[in-house]
Amino acid sequence: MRLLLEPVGAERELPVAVARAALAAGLDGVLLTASDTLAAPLVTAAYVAASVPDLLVAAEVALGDRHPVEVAEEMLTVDQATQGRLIAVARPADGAEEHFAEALEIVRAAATARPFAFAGERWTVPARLAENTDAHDELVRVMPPPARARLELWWAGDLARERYDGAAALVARLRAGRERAGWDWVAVAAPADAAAEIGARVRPRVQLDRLPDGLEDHWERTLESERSRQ
Amino acid sequence: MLDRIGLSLWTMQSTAAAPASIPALYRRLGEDARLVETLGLHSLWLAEHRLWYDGWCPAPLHAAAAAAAHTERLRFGTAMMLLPQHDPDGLADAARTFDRLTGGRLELGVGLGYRDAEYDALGLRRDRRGKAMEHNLGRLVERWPAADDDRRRPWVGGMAPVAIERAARHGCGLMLPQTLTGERLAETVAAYRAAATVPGRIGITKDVHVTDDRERETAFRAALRRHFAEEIGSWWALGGKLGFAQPEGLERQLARIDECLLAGPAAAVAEALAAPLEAGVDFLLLRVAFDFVDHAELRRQAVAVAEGVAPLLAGERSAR
Repeated sequence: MRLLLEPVGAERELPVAVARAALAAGLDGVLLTASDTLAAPLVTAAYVAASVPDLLVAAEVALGDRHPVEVAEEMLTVDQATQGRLIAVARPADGAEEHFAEALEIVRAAATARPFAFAGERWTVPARLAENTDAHDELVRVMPPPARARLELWWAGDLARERYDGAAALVARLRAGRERAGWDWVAVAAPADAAAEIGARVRPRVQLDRLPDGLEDHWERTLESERSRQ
Repeated sequence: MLDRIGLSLWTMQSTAAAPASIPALYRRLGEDARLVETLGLHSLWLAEHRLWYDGWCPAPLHAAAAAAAHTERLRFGTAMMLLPQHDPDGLADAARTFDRLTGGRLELGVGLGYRDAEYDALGLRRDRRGKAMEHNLGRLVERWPAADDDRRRPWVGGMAPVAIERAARHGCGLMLPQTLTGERLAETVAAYRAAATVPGRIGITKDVHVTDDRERETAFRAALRRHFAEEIGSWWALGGKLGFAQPEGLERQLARIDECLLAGPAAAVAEALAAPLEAGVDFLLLRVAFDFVDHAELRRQAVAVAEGVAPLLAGERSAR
């Protein structure tokens, strides 16, 4: 199971600090969503990834209101700017839910390495407007290409969402989610100072199907002795 | 003087003439930004185009956000964001986010764009771009309000009366093209100053290559010509047809670009830059980055501007 740390409360305005905590705790990445002052998660993702090495940076991207080609270009640019560490997590834009599926289809087409055309209810790409007399393209190729083989473009079902309320309770819910619904990637909303606990007490307990008897007790004794040594 | 010079134009292109690894171009953007900051220059500027074979960056503000994380003081500009092609609320969100993360280091330049293919892909009519610019700029300024500090105001690109009037009315700076010189430059500066509601900044762009070597200068001119022949030949509508189908029109444009190029020793470049400063221009946006300028040469050019050209301009008007 792969774990992303999602900032909560006032820490949503401090994504670099949260990302550093996630990296130090051995977590896989962070999940960034829009906040009042950081309203464009893809911009935040570019900045955070450049500030903190190695970490995956997931950014929630609203689809359905803005033109999907414009949004796809932002995703692809940020994928390049983060050296392929972006995970774009699509969600329906508020008030534009009915256009989400169409927008997602266009973004998926835009992230491939071939020219495409799309004719839907809300968008036609390219529009082939008679007034654009010097536009002769029947297909468009969106650039730049993804930094790696493919753009990581996910939506709701690809990423489970949880919140931290103590290691034992979270472990129980993550195991249950894995068994019930096949959870493999989970974003955990938690304060940065809980990252270490998630890294040490949660992450090791949710990787394997079962653990040898005695291993969890051994881990606890190790953590205790480490703590008393400090 | 260093605080009145920005370097441009990072486009992230991997062209037929100068193939490059696109991931490497993005990685180097951060390295280049660190160098430009270390040299004490004001800013680094990116451009926007879309849907072209060479990967030209369509989202310069997003690319700049990553580079900004590698710097502490350097400002990042767009010359230009093609504002009619964007959702203004989304762009305002991106600008506010960038400013918040970087301590207010965005220099947002906006222009019209001109390629029908770009407009058409986005479902927009190019012939309505003026109206769209007016609407989107109003919305942008409303959603991303300027601080008292005029560094927060967008730049409007252009030299047409409507661009000057628009920049002045919205309290924006005015970024002039390099073709504007002599009396027309002085008149344009005066027209903007007369119309401006706030003491906004006036910038001008210039293609620059600093070298003492005549052979290198000649080679640069030839490469610049090839570069713009591709861009104008493929994109510019000249008399109703695209450039390659209008060889005479294309040739005129290329001659104009060659005339505007400031190439030669630092003293000669500085002498040529003194004219716009004397005409009342506040800010010089010097284009040293092209697809065909390799990375080592690009870094040499940045140093040559900061340490060769800028000191020779130090006696010009002090910063506003």
